[in-house]
Amino acid sequence: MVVHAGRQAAFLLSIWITAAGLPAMALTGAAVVFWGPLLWIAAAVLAALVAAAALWYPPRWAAAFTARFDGRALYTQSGVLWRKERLIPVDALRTLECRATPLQRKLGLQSLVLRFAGGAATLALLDREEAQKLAALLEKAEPLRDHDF
Amino acid sequence: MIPSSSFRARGLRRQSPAYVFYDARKWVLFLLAPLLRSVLAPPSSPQEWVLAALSSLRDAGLAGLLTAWSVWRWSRCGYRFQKGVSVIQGPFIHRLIRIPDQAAASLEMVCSPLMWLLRCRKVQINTAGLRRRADATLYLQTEEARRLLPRPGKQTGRFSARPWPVAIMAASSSNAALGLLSLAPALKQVSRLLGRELPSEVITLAGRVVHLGLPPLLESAANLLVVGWCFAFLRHFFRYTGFRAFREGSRLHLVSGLLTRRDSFIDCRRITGLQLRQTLFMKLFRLYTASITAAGYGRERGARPVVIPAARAKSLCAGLDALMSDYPVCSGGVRPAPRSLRRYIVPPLIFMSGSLPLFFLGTVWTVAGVLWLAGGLWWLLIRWLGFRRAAFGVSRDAVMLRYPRGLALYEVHIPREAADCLIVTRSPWQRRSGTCQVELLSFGEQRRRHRVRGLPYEPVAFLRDRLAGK
Repeated sequence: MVVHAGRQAAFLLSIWITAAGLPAMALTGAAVVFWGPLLWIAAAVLAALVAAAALWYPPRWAAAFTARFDGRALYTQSGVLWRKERLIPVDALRTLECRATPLQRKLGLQSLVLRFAGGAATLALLDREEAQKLAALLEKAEPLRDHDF
Repeated sequence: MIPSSSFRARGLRRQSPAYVFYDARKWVLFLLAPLLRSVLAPPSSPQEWVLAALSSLRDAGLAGLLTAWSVWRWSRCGYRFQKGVSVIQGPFIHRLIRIPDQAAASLEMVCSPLMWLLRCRKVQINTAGLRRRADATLYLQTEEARRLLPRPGKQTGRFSARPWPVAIMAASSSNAALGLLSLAPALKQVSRLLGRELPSEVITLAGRVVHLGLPPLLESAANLLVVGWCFAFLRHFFRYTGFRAFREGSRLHLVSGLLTRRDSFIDCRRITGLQLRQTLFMKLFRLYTASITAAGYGRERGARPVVIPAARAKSLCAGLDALMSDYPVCSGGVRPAPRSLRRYIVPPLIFMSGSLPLFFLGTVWTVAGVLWLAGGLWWLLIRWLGFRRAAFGVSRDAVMLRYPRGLALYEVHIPREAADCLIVTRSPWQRRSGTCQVELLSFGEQRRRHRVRGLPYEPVAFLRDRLAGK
């Protein structure tokens, strides 16, 4: 099974980036009162950066994300600039957790948290149905150690 | 106090009265208050004498009350051996801790000189849980503690640590570099003292070469560091001198400590990692420290679950073969690409460049610059050696990673079933050069990650697929 991040995930990521950038811009704008009008330029640059990040980054992030499960291990690829590939053998998994904030529920998204003895890995912003299918498959999967090398 | 008959009716036994001492010893410091008061602010008038006496009575009374509280805690505390251990404690909030036989992952019995005099032992029982402290700690009479120990099995292998490698390991403990650098002012002081009695040319010259011109203010601070280093050295030396390890069936029995003797029993089936560690100082003497990751063993802060404290490669291999012959290891692996050397040496070089402004400032700052540069060089050397040794390998049964971290070199062997998550990261410039960074997550009480930088991507991808069972 192969899972991709959809358009809704990119849209939600844009909202997050904008929501994080707005307070920063507001603070820079407020600092103008104390440190002079030169900071208007800083605020404008910051606004441009936030807008660029909100428009440029999310679609690329969604396109780069892939999760593949072959019955033995889960293999994920993510990241735009820094590409990260993760391999999680299915017998290492201890618990599966599905998470969704109200906004994620509204957009039909869900995050899957995979916990193992050495830590946890989060597959963020998956399509809800795909996330549930993947969770069901992981639950049913046969442990890796029973297979031959 | 719970009457003894009620205790017996519930099948409970009391812990050793030494429990009171170990619980109350933190309050004993209150008794020092009157002494300190009389030394620091000696009373001069009769009125002050009366006030001092009343204050001393108050402090002693407080210490007495808190000790009585410990006695009360002891009186409410009981244990029972029945298919495991049950511990009942707490005067107000009653707690029952139940550890079944099969859940105990490791057991440690401590005997300090005081405990030997009091004929008692401290027994710590650990399970594979995530608590940072032992699941149950008991102070028991010696005979009772021995009842709790597993029956001695047939010995199939043993290792004994020799004193001089242990001394070298103790000397190169965490703050070794700092300690050695700070030894210089101490030498200077010695040269000053001896200079009055002996022909001073040699000593003065040595002092000049070694002391790096530290000003007196720094000298005192440095002397304090030397004292700290000496304490660390003694602590490690006393802990690991006379270290012995035995393989008894499926169990490891470790005995350590010169003054305070520790007996640890570890279930070998719960070992999920073998780590070889080498500091620069130990590398000079070709010594290694082998430690393990086992559920419930070495979980306290600062503890290192050592199985071989210090040994040369030959005796290390012999020791590991004797103690952990069935543990899977991986011998070969992928080495970093030569062009990745900069990923290893750039961070220390950047750190060292921070010292340059200090040389421009001159005077006292030059000394700080020299120390900074020496620290950076030390780190650079470790990273360079780390680059030469770094590797990542996957065999039929185990995963191996060799890498530098902090001021030490590490080699880790993890059984394949204990490798939880493999992360391969590639930055934009690593993608251009065809290299990557490999990180492995596995179970460990210290929650440390194992990371090898600058490996060629294609062979790593092949090993990753091999780990996935393809």
